[in-house]
Amino acid sequence: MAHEDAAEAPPERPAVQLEQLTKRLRNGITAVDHLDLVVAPGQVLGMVGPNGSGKTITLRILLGLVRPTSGRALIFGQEVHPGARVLGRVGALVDGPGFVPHLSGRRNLDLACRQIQLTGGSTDLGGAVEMTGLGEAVDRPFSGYSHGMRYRLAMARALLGGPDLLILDEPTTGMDPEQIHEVHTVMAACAEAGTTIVFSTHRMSEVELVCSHAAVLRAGRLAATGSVAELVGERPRVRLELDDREGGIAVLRGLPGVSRAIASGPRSVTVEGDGLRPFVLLEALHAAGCGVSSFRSNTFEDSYLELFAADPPPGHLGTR
Amino acid sequence: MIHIEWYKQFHRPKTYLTLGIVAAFSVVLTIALLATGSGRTEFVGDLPLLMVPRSSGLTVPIIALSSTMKFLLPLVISLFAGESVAGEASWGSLRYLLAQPMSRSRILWSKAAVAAALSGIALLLLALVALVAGGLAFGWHPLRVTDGSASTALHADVSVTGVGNLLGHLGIAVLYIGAGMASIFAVAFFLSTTTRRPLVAVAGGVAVTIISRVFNADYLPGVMVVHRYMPNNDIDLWQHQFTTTADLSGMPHFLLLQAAYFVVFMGLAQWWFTRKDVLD
Repeated sequence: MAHEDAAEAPPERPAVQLEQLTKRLRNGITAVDHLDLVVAPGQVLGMVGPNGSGKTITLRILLGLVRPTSGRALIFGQEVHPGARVLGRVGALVDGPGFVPHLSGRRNLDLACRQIQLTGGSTDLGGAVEMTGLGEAVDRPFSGYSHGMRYRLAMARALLGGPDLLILDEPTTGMDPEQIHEVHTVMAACAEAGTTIVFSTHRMSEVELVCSHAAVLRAGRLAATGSVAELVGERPRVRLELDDREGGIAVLRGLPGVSRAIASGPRSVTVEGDGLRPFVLLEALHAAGCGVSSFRSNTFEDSYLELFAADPPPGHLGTR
Repeated sequence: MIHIEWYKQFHRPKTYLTLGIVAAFSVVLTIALLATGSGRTEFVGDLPLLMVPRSSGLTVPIIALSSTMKFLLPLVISLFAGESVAGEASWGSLRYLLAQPMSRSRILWSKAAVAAALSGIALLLLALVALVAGGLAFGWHPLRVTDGSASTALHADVSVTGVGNLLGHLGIAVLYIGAGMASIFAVAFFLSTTTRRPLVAVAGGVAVTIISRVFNADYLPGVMVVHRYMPNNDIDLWQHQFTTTADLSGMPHFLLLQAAYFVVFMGLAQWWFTRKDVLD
């Protein structure tokens, strides 16, 4: 019977689907340019790119705050427009927290609950407060909140309706490491519960830590997308800090499997090649008397920078 | 949605302060009349009406309405209307409101309804506090009014109005002034949808009264052709109720004018708010 159910189940619709999405702003700038992107349910997708690459505008289109000039944005197969019903399945934190300053955190959340209930949704205020660790601070006036507490409250609001999709615009901006860790913990818990998360960030380490997938935007277009592992592994490389950079480069270029060894800093060298074996590299350098002060494998940040180094974007757009 | 909006707006410190100032104005006015004192005849309003303020507590709401309808009340109405959408935008919470599965029209008109209700409360509060304070200070007696504009050295155009009629006239005055603020409300409300700086919208509403004053034929006869189309110029016509002639013929034109301004600017607010991109 289970097989029959599986056979009859409709194909799972993408949590997010962008089809040739374009947004031209009033000042003539094309903020989003024929963007195609698919995010499967359950994915945690980090959207990265320089300022002006169209991340925030894309997220705002997904929330029905901005109308696309052309193309479509769909959430769970339904086209998004201002007030679209499907927005009831979305929790959001966009461009920082925004609350009624003279009311307490709890009263703000309570008003948000009532609004969700007006549109037929159910809410779990206690669960959201507990998950974000607001504690007793939730009863204090919002105007007295610290930066970190404001973001916690914003996360709590995003989680109120038990969303199937979380859209977060730079959710860790201006936070200290401890607060960032807390946000990541909440995101991980949501992801584990099956919530799809799409968020923008400038922290490449955040993508590696939290995301299953990433999309790199450049000048409103999709520069690269895929799983984080794919994006990191696309160009296998290691970075070394050497006592004698030039001597080290000469040694490394002669090793099997090394296709390229180039200077990437005053003392650092980046090595690329298929099937790089760290032990072989280190042994060869040691044998040549070249000291190695640090060694690290390729990161998402390296891949990101490499992408832009190979094809630099045409300057910043001036808007997000 | 209206009850959510009401909760947000009514519990603002600024709302308490504004309503407090309006109520305090009537109290201070009563105390001033009580303290100043003699049974002297005073000019009231723009007609002008001559009355002895201390002869009846019912003079206090008349004076209160006359002296606030051209600046304080427009300011208060502009404040409630101008803060309505722009205030929420300045808090940064408007984008979250608009990211809900709810039509923008519903959100907009909920905000308009609450701003209008608060404006109405302010006007009623001004009149009621003046009525009560005036009654306590001077008692409620029939009022003797001399129409200064129709009186000469040889002839005094005097009317005496009983308490019941006076209360009726005051009710009409409140309704008329309330309706007469529709243009200011609509302009401030429309501006509120276009900015995230509430002060800009408030200033826009107040500017309506200032522009009306500039193009007022009572002060500048050469602008008669535009006088009647200025949104705030004929706000004082309710005072004619207290004259012997009681010529109220200009009131329907003024009310129609208010309706026209209201429809145009609220229509613009609807058009803009439902189409705008929320980028800030």
